[in-house]
Amino acid sequence: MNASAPATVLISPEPFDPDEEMRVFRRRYGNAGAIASFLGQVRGEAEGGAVTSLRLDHYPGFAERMIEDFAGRAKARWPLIGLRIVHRVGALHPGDPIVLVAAAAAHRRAAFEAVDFLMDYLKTEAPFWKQETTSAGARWIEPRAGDYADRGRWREPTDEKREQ
Amino acid sequence: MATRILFFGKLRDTAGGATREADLPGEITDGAALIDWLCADDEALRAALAGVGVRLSVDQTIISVDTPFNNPKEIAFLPPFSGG
Repeated sequence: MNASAPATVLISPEPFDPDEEMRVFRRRYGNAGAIASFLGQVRGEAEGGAVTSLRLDHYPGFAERMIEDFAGRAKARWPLIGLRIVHRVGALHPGDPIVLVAAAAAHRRAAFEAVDFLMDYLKTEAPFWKQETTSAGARWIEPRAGDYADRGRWREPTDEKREQ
Repeated sequence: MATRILFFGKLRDTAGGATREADLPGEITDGAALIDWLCADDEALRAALAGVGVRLSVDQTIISVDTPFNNPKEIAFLPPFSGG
């Protein structure tokens, strides 16, 4: 990566355009054999009815540092050529992009797995909080048991020490 | 020196605000003592801070409530994360 490279991680209070992000990413890693990406959007329907808005809070500074740490772990674990992680904060509405993770590698497995890994960590280990408002009122969203189980798939021998 | 105490997510609602500034008494040297001190007259906040999955960070490092800290600038109570 050269000095003009875009930052790997962006936490943005402004909306982002996932198509434009992917265009830039593809241009940058045009020689990669494989690019995988995940886009998370604000859902339109929740258990409490139609979603009217989603508020996303984060712990400024700490959230950036945690995501940089996950990105570093992904790069250490898979032979990645490039990574991009964009995460919104602030006031969002159904259909708005929340998170984009893109990985470029020589072959598909590394790209798929790195994106999967990063999403599982973003869901359970990065200091973000979602408050969803529906016709039934506002509620804070918490990870489901399945989210922790998903993250547990990536355990490394060093994790036990890290989590103490 | 004043310590900034941050409450995120649903804890902000229970604490009645996101941030407090406090001069911690000298005997407050870990999270458990801090929680006792903060919640002396606030059982609702005590219950919320003892909630499942609530984590404590001191100067942006997550630690357990019985790990001693020294002159922290910023302490945060973090309910379960829900990013992504």
